[in-house]
Amino acid sequence: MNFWQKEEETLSVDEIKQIQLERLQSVLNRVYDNVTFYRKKFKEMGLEPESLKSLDDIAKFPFTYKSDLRDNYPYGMFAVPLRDIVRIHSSSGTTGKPTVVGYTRNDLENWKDLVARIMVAGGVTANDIVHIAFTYGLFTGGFGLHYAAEHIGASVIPVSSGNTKRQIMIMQDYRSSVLVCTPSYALHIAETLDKLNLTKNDIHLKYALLGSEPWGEKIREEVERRLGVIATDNYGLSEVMGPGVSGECLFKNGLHVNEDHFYVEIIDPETCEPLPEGEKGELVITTLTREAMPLIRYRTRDITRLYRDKCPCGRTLIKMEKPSGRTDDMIIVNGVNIFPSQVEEVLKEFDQATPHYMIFIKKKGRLDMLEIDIEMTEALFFDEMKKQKAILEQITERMFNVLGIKPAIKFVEPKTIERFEGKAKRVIDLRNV
Amino acid sequence: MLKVTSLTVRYGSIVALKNVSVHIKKGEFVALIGSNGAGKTTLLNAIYGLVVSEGDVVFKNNNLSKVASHKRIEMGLSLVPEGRRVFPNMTVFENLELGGFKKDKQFINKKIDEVVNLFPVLKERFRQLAGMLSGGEQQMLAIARALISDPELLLMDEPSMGLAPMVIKEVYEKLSILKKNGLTIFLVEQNAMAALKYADRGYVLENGKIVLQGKSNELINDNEIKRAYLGKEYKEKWER
Repeated sequence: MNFWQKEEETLSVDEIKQIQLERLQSVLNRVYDNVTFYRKKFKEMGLEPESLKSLDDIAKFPFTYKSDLRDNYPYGMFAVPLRDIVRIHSSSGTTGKPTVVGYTRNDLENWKDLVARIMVAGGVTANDIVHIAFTYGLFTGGFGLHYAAEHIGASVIPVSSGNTKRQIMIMQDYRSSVLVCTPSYALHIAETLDKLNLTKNDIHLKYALLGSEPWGEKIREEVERRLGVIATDNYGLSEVMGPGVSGECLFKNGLHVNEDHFYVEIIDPETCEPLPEGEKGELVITTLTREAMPLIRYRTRDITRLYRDKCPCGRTLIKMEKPSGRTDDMIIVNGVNIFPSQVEEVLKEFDQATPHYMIFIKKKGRLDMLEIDIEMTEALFFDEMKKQKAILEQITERMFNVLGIKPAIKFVEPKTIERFEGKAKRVIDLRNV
Repeated sequence: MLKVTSLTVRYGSIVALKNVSVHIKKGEFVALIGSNGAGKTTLLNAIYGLVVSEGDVVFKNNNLSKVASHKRIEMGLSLVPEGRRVFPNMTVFENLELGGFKKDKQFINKKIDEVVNLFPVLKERFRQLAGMLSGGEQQMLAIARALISDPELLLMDEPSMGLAPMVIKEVYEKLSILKKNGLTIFLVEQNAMAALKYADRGYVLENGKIVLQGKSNELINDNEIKRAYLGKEYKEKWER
C-alpha cells in the first residue's frame, strides 16, 4: 500500500490550486455567516468573503492567534451548533483559558483519512500492529493516530504513555510492528531495552512514526539503529485539527502537507508579510474543510520553509521542512507544550513565592526534565522547614495541574535570581538538541 | 474539464452569484444543490453564456468569456433547461431532430438510434406530440434531445422538478447509466437528497455563495445543508 487517497495525494498543482480556491471561498463564507469573531474582524477591515478572487488575496485577510481562541473560550469559534459537534479536544492548562477544539462527524472522518495518509506514507499497512504510546485524553495525538490506524485496518494497541517496562513486554509478546510516540520516548524505550539486556532483535518493530516535538537527523539515526525501524516525522497542532497536517514519506525528505485540506503560507514574523515559496519564516495555516471550527490564517509560531519538489514517492503535495524553531517562547518538554506565562500564573496564586523564577530543561536519561527554581519571600525563608516543604508540595501539585507535566521545584534564597532589564530570559534549555 | 473561478453575476443592483468557483473533471457526476433562489439556474446560464458574468469559465482549457452560446454547444456543452422546455406541438422525433440542429442528417439519425436505446419509451412515442407525454417522459425527451449534439459535458437544471419520486429515481438512474458510459454531468438541483444519492461530489449554494463542498456521501448527512435551505434561524433555534 503506497497511498491512502491516491487521487488527492497526486493532484497536479493546477488542480490543487483550483480545489484550494473553491474551498477557501466557501470557508470564508461559512466563517463570515456563522462565527461572530470573524464577521466582526472582516467588517473592521472592510473585507467580505468576496474579497478573495484568487489565492493570493488571502494576504488581505486577518490572522488568527492562539489568544483569539482563548478570548472566545469555550465555544465562540465554533461555526456549527453544538448539536453537530461529536468530539471535543482541548489544550492543557487550568489557569488562563485553555483552547478548545470541536469536531463534527465529517471532521472526524476527514481527520481519520488525513492521518491515515501520513501513516501509510510512513509504511503502515493493514497487516501492522500499531503500538500507540501517546497519552490519550484531551491531547489530540493519541486519538488522532488511533482512529487512523484502525481506519487503515491495522491492529491498534492503545498503550498510552508510561510504564516502559510493560510497554516493552507488550512489544515483545504482542509483536508490535509500528511504534507511535515522541522521539524522546522512542529513545527512552531504546535505553530501557539496554537496561533489560534486550536488543532490537528481541522486539518486532519495523516503523516508528514520531511527532509532537522537534527532533533532528541525529536522533533519527539513533532511533533507527537502536530500535531497528524506519522513523518518520509527522506534524500537526490541535488548534487546526491535531496530527495529520503533514508527514514524511519513506524517503524522509520533507513533510508532505495535506494541502487540499490546509492552505499553508509562510510569513515574515516581524513584518507579517507573506514570503515567496522556498523562504524560511512562520507557518500560517487556513483550514479548508473543517466544519466545526474553521480557522483563517492561524499563526502556528513554527518556523519552517515550504517547497515543491519531485518526490520519488509520487506525492505531489507541497512539502515543509521539519520546523526549526518557534517565534514565541513556547517550550516542548516530552511532547508537552509549555509557556513560561503558565508558570507565572501559578506563582501569582501563592503569596509565599515571588514572581522571580527560572526554568531549566534538562535531560534525565533520554527523557526531558523540567526544573523550576523559585525565589521565596523573606517570610517563608525564615519560616520552619515543615511549612516550606508543604508550600513546595502545593506549588508542585498546582504546576502539574496547569502544565500537564510534573516539574522539580526548588526554592532558592531571596534575591538570588537575576533581575532582568528589558526582555527577561527565564528559560535555560540544557538539552543539546 | 470545466473550471469556473470567482464567477459573479449581477442583475442590476442584485448580485445573484457571488464569487462562485467550481470544477468538474472528465467523467465526473457533480451536483450543485441549493434552495429556491440560491442562484443555481444563474450559474448554469453563465456557464452556457446566456448571462453576462465576471470571472472565468474555462472549458477544456479554453476560456469561454468571448465565446457565444451556440459556439459553446459546438465545443461540447449541452444544456437541459429547467422545466424540460420540449416543443409541445412537435412530435417526439422532431424534438430529437432539433437537438442536432447543426449536425447532418446521417449523424442525427445515428444519435437518435443510440439515445432511444437508453430511453425506449421515446421510441414507442416517436410520432406523438411531445405535449402529450407525461412529465417524466418529457424530462427523458429533454435529456435525449440534449444528447443528440453529442456533448462531452451535460448541464442540467433541476431534473427532478415537478416529478413524482418514482419518476425522479428513473431519471437519475438514466443519468447514472450515461455517466457510466463516459458522459460528464453537472446538474443543479433543489432536491438535495436525490442529487447527492447519485452524484460523486456536490456543492452547496446559499444566497449566491458556495458554503460547502465535498463528496456526496459526506454532504448527504450534513446539517449545514439543512441550514442552507432553512436559513440561519435554524441554527439559532437549536443553539442559543
